[in-house]
Amino acid sequence: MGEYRMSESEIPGTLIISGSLGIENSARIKEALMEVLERSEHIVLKLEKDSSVDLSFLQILCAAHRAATLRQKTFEVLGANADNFELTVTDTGYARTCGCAMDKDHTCLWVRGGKK
Amino acid sequence: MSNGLEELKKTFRAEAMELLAALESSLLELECSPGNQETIGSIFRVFHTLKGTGAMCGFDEISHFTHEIETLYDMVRCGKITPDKELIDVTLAAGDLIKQFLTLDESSTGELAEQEAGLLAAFRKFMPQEASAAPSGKTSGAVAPGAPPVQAKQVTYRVRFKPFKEIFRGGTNPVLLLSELRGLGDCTIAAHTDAIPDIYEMDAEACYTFWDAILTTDKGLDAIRDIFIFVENESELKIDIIDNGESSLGVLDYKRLGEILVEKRELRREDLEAVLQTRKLLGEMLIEKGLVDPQTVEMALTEQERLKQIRENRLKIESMANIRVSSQKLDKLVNLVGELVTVQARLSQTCAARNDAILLSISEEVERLTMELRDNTMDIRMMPIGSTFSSLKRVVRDLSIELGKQVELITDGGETELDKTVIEKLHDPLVHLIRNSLDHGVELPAAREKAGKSAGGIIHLAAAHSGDHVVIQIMDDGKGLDPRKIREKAVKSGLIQQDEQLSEREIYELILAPGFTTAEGVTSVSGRGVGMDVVKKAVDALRGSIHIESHLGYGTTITLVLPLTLAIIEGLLVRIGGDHFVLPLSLVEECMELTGKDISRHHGRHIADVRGKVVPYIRLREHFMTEGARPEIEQIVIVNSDNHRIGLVVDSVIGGHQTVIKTLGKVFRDIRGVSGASILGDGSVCLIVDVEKLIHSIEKEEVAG
Repeated sequence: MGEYRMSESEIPGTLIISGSLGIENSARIKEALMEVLERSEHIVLKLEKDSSVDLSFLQILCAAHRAATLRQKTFEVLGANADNFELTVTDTGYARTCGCAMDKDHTCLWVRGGKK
Repeated sequence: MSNGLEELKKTFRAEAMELLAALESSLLELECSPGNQETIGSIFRVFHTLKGTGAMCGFDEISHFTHEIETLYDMVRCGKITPDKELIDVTLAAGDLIKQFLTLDESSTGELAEQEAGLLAAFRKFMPQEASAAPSGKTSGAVAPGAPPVQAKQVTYRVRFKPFKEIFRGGTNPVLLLSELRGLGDCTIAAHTDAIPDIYEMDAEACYTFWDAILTTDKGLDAIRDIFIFVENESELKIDIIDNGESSLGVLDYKRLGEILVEKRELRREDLEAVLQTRKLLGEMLIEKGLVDPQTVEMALTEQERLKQIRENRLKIESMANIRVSSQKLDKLVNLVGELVTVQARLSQTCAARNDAILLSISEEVERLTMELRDNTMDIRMMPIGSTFSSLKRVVRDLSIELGKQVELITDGGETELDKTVIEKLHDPLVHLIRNSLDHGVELPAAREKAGKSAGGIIHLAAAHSGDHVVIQIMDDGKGLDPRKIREKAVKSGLIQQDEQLSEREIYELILAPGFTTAEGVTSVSGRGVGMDVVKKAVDALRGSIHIESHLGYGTTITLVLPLTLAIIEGLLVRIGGDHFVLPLSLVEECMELTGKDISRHHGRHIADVRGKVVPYIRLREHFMTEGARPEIEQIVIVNSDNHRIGLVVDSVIGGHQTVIKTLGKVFRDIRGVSGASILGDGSVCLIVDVEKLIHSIEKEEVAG
């Protein structure tokens, strides 16, 4: 089982995450995110370069974004630097040009430009 | 109406007629082999194209009418309905009605409403009860499980893959399946994330995502299924063909957004209609009302855009491969090429007279190019006769039913090419001949069995090339012609004298005389004595001939010999006095000299000794009343007419001459023995001799004299 690492930045609500972010660690990643969501208003998840993600991780991010939106909090992912994050977003068909019905503030994690 | 739309309608009419002819052939084929999936597919595609293109070109009645038939044939394709004779009958009638829609003035199409309603009601009777209910099951759509895979065509599929929630725990990564799907062709995949819950409610190891893919591939349905084979039982997999890869001429507009969403069951039709009452963009409205989520709309729009693009590209390729040109334009081109050939001949003649080497070389080059241009232009006009043969199958089928006979039409040589004009003018004579064979030739089943034949008769229609002619034969295995009966009728009607001596063949040819019939009574099919003379006139007009052979009790064979084209003749140019004439080269066997000595040897009688055989001759100088003295040595051109060798005496033979035929004006139409004219290189006119008619008329004169 690949390891993953998670640490909290000095900036409140900012999590730095790296390593294997696949199905094998999905339960723990989910728990960690729930915990941060509980105590922060603005959550930022920063993926380190050596992060390896899969579909289950994208689902967790989507679920976290939903939870934040419902609670009038913000949830942001900084993943451009991660090795396979963008590729996985494309491969899974998550990349899109407009957010879901809940995305009133246009903060959807998967919008990648193009028409609205 | 704008010119553009009118032009579009004209094109649609022409195409629809071709489609209907193909439909008729397919239906008749289906009658013989009801399980043939390829034939069923062809029938379905005809209705599909008529529906789509009809709507686009403003033929709403046709579009509406064909919609239901298309649905029914989709079921036939899926094996839900078994085609039988009754369904084929109704479908043939539907084809006839569509033809009426196409030919009638738009304001008159209302008159056909009753017929349309009747036929639609007839079609509905074939629909299974569950047809009205929405299709169910994991796999649905236009693809029949047993349908043959489409291998070569680029077919576009809409694939929905909804994996079961536990798929991760089963060790399968659905993204790898999507990746395999991409490997099959041009693929756009969009994930649906609506089902992902709030993080507090989610099971981190469950799969909440499902996908829609638009895939364009030539790999076939099975290849797609194979990818999901191990997860298919627990997942939802739905594959629909949204573009079958066939001609998209005139069907650039893919389904509208609402239609796609309703079809995908993302939206109820009632909701769609309610929303359409307002004037905003449909996508916007649906999202605002929360009926469809934005990503679904996005996917539907992607599908719409993708299909539009595919069809546009295909249309571009198609329009580059073929263009449709009106036959009038083609006729004009042929005329111009004819003029060019004439001018080129003048050029060659002038250059030869000047004996200038450079001019001669240019003239030879122009001659070569002109001949190539002429051959290519003629080739454009050539069409296979098969389409005419196909329409005759329907005639045989319908007449057989009407007359209570069992007749099968077997065709051969449908690929034989003939000039377009010849084919068009040949249609009616062939219909007449087939009807005659059916009505007078082939006997009723009981009579056939009594005569020791099979109950079902056969009419064999064959075409083949023979030199620069096409030979078309209509052979039936019916009762044959009775020469005694024909003779009696001919004497009775004053066509021949009681004591007139006629060969069997001449007796048979009496049936080509106006008003001649041996039928005991008049039927709706034939027996009025109009028909065979009309056939003869039509064949004569095509510069063709008819030959009849028959064996009493065994059948009749009617042979039509027709020129490949009406536009050009391969001839032998001859001179009589100061005039030039062209004799059809196909009839010419040889040329020989005729001297004063030869004439006196036969005491002035018009006969020549050709290697010990007597050949009669005709002096064209006398026939055409050419002035001036004849030369000392004349030429006899020996031609073959109806298997008899006859000489035509001319002053001199100039040589082979391929010429463009110009029709004679009304004033000259009745000149005996001349079928047309041509212009020579020096601008003078030469006449084309109709050898057969000339010989017949002289024979008649001699018999009468």
